[in-house]
Amino acid sequence: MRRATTPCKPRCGNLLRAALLSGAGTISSTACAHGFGQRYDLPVPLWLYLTGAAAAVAVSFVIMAAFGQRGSALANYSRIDLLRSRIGQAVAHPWVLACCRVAAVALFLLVLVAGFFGHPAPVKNIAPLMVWAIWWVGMAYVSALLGNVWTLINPLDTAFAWAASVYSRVRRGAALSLGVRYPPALAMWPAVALFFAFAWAELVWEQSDVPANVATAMLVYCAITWTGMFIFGREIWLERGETFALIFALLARFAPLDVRAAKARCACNLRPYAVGLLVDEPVHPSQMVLVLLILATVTFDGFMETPLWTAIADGTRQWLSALAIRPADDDLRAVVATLGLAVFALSFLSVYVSCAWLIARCAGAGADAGGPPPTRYEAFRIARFFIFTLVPIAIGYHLAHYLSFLVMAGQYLIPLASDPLGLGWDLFGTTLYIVKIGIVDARFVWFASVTAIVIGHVAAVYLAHAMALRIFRDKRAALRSQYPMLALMIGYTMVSLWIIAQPIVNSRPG
Amino acid sequence: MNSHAPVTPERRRRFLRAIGACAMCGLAIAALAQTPPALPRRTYDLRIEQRKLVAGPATVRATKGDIVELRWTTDEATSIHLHGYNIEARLDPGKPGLMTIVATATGRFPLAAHGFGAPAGRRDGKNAHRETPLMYLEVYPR
Repeated sequence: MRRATTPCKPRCGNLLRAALLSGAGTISSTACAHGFGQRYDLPVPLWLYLTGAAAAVAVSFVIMAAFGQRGSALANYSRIDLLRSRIGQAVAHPWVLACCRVAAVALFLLVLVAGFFGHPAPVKNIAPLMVWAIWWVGMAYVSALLGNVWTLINPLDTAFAWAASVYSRVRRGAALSLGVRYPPALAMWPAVALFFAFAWAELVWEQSDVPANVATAMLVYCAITWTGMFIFGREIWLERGETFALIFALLARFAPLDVRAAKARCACNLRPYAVGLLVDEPVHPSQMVLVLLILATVTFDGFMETPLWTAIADGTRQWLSALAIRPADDDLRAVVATLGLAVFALSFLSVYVSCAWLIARCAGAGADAGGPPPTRYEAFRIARFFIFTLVPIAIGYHLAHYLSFLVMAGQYLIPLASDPLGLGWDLFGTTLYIVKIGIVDARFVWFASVTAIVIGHVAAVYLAHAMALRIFRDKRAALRSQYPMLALMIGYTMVSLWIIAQPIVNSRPG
Repeated sequence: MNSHAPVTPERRRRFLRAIGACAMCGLAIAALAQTPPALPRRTYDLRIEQRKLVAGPATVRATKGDIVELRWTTDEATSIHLHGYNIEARLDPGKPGLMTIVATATGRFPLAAHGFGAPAGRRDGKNAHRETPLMYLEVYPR
């Protein structure tokens, strides 16, 4: 066994541990070649946790009171077309974009090659780091704080578009697609299924930081994506099946840059944060489920490191092994984690739908809803309207949870850039860089984390109110409708704060 | 509240000079106080029995800048490793092992034992590397 996996891989996994181990030591070779991605966060101290919680509750009521007085300012916000300026035009020049796409495809290929032919230890290979830390965590940061970069550089999309253009040149304008009509009932369910598989790989699958597995998974996902694009057409699949396009687009609704990549050119507008999360139409049930699944995954990820989860998992494991035929310990761990993920997803769904039902009840005897009369105040319809307003809380938590991880993982890129395949190269002379664990102080991480979560909460409460004013024309009904939503959001924020106030436990059953 | 004399440039200069002098004194005192590097040193005795921590704190808490000494005894040969700080120590029965940590970085760091017993012992890959941390070191900001 050249490598050693620790069950917590990317979610926060053991990258750091790995980094440090291999950083100081090629000397301490195998025994220490650890899994991937470890966080060393200290639990947020109680007083700060309480302050954050109190602040969340206080601002909630301030917003509530302010809305009672006047309506939302979000109804008609101003936007600035950045592509009008000369700098904007230069940055978004088709040549620049083309270069970025080529670079993204090249990086994608590098990761594939490294995965298959590079060093088999996760820490000596750039593939796990690029996929789990830089791309998955980092791209989420960029999407939420800046804008939807993924839509511009998505290498799968680029590769297919290139193939399609070559094909149409050879075949005189024929499209590289069967052009099958996409069944409307299928909606975004393919993306939901793919995301569940991805979340499972991230949180449960122990071997997911093995470079070869990373590369194989990438190829499988490529095959699925390109098949989907080939059957239904590229743009249809990007909107319904390419789960990462949907996820990053969802996070980017929060971002100030509204990036749209239309066929020939892209558009880029500057707008206030979070307004993109307000919708005019209820979202499709499949999209609602996708959002809830993302929220559940993000929370479960952190929850899996708390002592409470360790206790629950141990209890469940004992109960299961007493019941059944005693499966291998590894399998048992995976079963328990899978169950946990499923339970989390289902409880998010049920709690949210019950909250929507309460909203419908509270809005009660108000005037008519925004939609056609037969559907007025129907709980499920309301759920589909409000779902995006929860996203800022998830973003706040995501930023908090991964802050120190990204700082460490980012450093780890320095030695790996010089030797991406772990073959002993030294391209930039940085192979010997040792990751500095003290680069961000715990106090900074604490304050940044609590601030991010509280700001996310404020944005969510504000959005939900603005949304209510859109749906319920009667202002009083809108205000009444927000009591259940407020309770839900405060609860969600408390859970997020509670998780970062828990000591991280690296429990390894065994 | 208005009884103060108007602030003239002269007064201001004198005031600033006084502040400066105070600051210099402070610095000198601080420098003097620092001459002997009086870092707090904390020592803990810990014991591993049957691959578990049986004596000593499960979480050692320190403040940034402390020196932490862990004195280990064990009933089985093993090597222990403090993650993050990346400090290793080889432990043998009957021979106490010392691990000295200068707590320069804040955080919560797991300490685990790798490979109990003889090096060629267990071969079943994954389980051999799977480890429950023996204890944690928590370094808090000053």
